[in-house]
Amino acid sequence: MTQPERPDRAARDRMRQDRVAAQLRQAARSYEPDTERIRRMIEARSADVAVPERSTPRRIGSRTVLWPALGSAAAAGVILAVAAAGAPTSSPETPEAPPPTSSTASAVTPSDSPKPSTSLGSATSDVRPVSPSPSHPGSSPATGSGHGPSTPASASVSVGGIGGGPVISTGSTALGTLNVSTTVRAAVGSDVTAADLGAVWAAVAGQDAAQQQHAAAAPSALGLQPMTGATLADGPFRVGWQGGTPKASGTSSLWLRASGSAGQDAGVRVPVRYQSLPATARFFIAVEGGTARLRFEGGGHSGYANLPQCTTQCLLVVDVAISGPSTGKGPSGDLTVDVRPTGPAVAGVAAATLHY
Amino acid sequence: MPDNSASRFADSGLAQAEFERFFARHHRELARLAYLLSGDRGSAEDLTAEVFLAAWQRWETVWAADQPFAYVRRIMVNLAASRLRRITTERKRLALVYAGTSQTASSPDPAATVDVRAALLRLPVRRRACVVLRHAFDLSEADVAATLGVTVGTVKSQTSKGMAQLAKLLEGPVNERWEG
Repeated sequence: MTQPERPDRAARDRMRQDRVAAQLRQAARSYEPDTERIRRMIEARSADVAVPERSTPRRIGSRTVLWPALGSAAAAGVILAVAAAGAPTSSPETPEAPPPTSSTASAVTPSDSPKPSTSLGSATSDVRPVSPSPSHPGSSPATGSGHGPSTPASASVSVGGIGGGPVISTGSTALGTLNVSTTVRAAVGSDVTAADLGAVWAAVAGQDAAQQQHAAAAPSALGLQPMTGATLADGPFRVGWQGGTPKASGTSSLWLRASGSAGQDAGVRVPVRYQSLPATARFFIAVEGGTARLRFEGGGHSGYANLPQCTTQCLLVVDVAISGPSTGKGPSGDLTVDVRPTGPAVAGVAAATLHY
Repeated sequence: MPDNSASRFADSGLAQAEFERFFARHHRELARLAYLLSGDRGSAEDLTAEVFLAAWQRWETVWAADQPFAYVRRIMVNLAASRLRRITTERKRLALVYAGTSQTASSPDPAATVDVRAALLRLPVRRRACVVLRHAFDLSEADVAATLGVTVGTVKSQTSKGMAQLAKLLEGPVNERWEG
């Protein structure tokens, strides 16, 4: 009768260590934190802490939203308040410097969300007219003729789902008698569902730039067109739709994107044909490694709005509200919106919608 | 000319959105780390909330780090270490509160889970952190060293001692089988 071989001491130590390690992992997994309780504690305590570090300490008034939609869009009602009391004091528990990068850390440190640049200056109310060409009243259906001075955009779409993120910047520009107002929000999540899509929409769902299929309820009203250097690629958004053409329903994670290094005309063009004013076009845009610019052209005039600087990747929901002299049923017309990356940045569009 | 980029960042909705995503993505793992370091769920959630507040206060620095999560994890370990006394006190108090609550356990062996948690609490906090980071969260020795601000050699020795101590405390059947 044979006896089982006794493992040596090293093997026994390894077995013992493996067993303890398994118990440790099990202990960690056994605990499911009470997310809501943590939220409530943060909310309660945030009234006593300072706002994030800033180079110029200052008070910002009574209460500021810490974050508007903690965890999910459904929790958008959870408002965490921060009463600023100047610069935060240095905490002894807080490391002075980030730990060094390690090639093995990725196994336990999932890649983080895209980092915005620390400078958002270019995104703040930075919508400017560009060399307005001479006005040609009546020459374009976008402007109509014989109307009075332009009025501020009054159209807005209801914000929900992915569009419910905080506002990063706003601005407006006049294109002749057409007024274009831009609101840039940080996307909450990355799923664009049918609920986010208006009656008129377009999504990037093709296989290549040359033969892309726009799943759109009204393709003639809204398009996604490649400019110089634009290609289709797996993108940061996932768009789901129903009732489109040529594909009635589906999902796509494609986006049409271009790098600014492709040249001055690199980008994505979205022709918007509105049937009445006011109207709002919404764009699901991502910017990577720099910044991008929205260039508007309508009624023989052009203008632009700068998007935020993003060191890695920013998911944005951009509303472009178009209004004209008439706030009721106005003229139909065209507005061309180009998403143009700047320098080495990459920018693109996953979907666009049009609301009235 | 003053640099207002930080305040612009702090005031921007983008910072809030990124913080929100960071919370959604990482709060569970951080809370689990706090759970093993502190020994009970009450202290773990308290510590987790505190760490996220600390992260928010210096969010720009956190976000500028090569690995924001590793940075916040380091805050967690440092907070846990410096507040061990308070946490221990809270644990004793909260043990009464949570004594009657059920464990949200996916573990097939809750008794072993309780045992290992109890055994962990008998380790010095830095040694406990080494063991937990290395074996419960599978960090490399280099990452553990970076998180704790110690050398890799210290991590090796502390982890080894900690595991041996834990094994002795737990004394499972595997050991008994060969050591009769």
